[in-house]
Amino acid sequence: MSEERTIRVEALTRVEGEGALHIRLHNGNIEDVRLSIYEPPRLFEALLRGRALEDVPDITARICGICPVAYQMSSVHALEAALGVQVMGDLRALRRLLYCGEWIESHALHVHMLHVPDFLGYESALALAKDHPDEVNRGLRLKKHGNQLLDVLGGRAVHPINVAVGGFYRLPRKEELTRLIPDFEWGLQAAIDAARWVAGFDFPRFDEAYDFVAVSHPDEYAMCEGPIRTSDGMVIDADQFEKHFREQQVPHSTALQAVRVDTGQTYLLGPLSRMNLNREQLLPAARRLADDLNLEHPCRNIFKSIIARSIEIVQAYEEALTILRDYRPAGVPRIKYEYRQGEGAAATEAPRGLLYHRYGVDAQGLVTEANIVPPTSQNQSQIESDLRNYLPALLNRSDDEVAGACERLVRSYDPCISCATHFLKVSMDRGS
Amino acid sequence: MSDSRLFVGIGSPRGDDRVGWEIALRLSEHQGSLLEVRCARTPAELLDWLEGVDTLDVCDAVAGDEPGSLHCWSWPAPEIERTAFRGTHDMTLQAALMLADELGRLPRCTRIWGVGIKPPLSGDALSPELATAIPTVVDRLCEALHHA
Repeated sequence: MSEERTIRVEALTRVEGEGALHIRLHNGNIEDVRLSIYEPPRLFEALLRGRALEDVPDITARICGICPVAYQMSSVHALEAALGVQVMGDLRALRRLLYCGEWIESHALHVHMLHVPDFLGYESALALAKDHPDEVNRGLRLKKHGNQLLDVLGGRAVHPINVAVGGFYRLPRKEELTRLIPDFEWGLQAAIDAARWVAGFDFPRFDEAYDFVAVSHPDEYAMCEGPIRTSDGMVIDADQFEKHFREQQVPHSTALQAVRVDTGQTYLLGPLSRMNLNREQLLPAARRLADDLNLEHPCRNIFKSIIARSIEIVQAYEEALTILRDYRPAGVPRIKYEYRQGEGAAATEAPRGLLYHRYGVDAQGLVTEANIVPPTSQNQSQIESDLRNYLPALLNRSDDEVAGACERLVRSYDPCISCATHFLKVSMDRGS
Repeated sequence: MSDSRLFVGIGSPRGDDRVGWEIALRLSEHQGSLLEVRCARTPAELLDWLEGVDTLDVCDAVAGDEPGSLHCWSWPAPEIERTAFRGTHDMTLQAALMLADELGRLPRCTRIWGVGIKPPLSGDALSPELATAIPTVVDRLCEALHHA
């Protein structure tokens, strides 16, 4: 007699956005694992066609309330590539500073509010706060610093509005940035303490042969620019992305999944990939911390993403402090450009991983084509692959326990389903 | 020394869900010097603004109620668990207030104001029904805040 087993988790919790996971087993074998994103497509790419290219950073920022800067950064870099201009010097530094704000805000939120409860056995951040108020308060204070940077530099904390093609609409005054320095000095040490805290957690044993992919840069921990690197040695410019990475539609998801063109295999984006590929470029305090914490190099355990994410908070504080201290407002807020027909692509590092944008523009400055490939949609098929490999060790547990363990693995990715589309639930089928 | 007072309107740009913002803006015109007024897109933003605040008033839309109807709850308010606050916010208003309370960040006097709206949300503007009701809501709020 055959045995069917179905496990359903109706709503994955503590992730950004919503979706579903369906797992079906037959006679103890895994028959189907589907990360289903069934929210209707958001159609941003079609919405951008015919719009002035200057509108793009503000429109794409609306794709996500957690990582709007990433959408602004990828879009302006791609459009500047199409226009043949390059933002350098202080304007480039300010863009990195803004990105630091988003990394701090997004990572601090995920680490403290969404992910730590998994490791300490709490249902939610609220339950965690009862027993660990100091740590939760610390996380909220770190998140606030990130939001403050977005507010000062981006014009507001959520969906900032100050990023322009060619630079910014307005440069901050020196004192606006200087007054943040004491908070950021406190934050750097607090972020180090937080990383040491999470590195002491117990981690499930789960090492995978990931293909790590991230933007890389010889002189800095890559955020805004640089070639795309993979752990098997491929190095390509961003404008070659679509030749090497293919989006594909699957019946159970309204978000496109992605695979490598040459291997047809899944790949991993996000803090763990960045840490593995770009560890040498970490700033001194972050690099020292990574070594002190004995984070493997490379680390192949997705559950340890929380350590990589926490070290990246330290990196972001360290870099932000340097830029805050060195800032001397001078020059124009944005460089001039002439409209011309062309195409440009860029990849930057959103908190959750590589975010690719490509735009075509015409001689009137209107968008003729847009392609946006968010990190969570690229990670979808890797998440399904991880679940297939993780499930065999869980099969003798109850359905609730299996569902909880699977949710925990998914949360290690800090998926931003709102970016990919919008909704997440989990169901599991055990054939009996 | 006078109390530090904060009024926060929570909302989004979508249709009647912007009612919290509209009320905050009008209150800042009426009572700008008497209290700090802020607009939030998510309840979690509240957590960044509570330091040094003695009295907190939060206003959000309540879906499915008579447009423009005004409700008030003093924290702790178990009733609001049953109230369908409108919005796509990541952390609900209840959760944000509970977390602030748990962490000792919540002002000793906290009130939640709910303004009725009718779903669905569509377009950018307030529905004519709600737009007509807002001046009365603001007057009632001003009076309540004045006597608080």
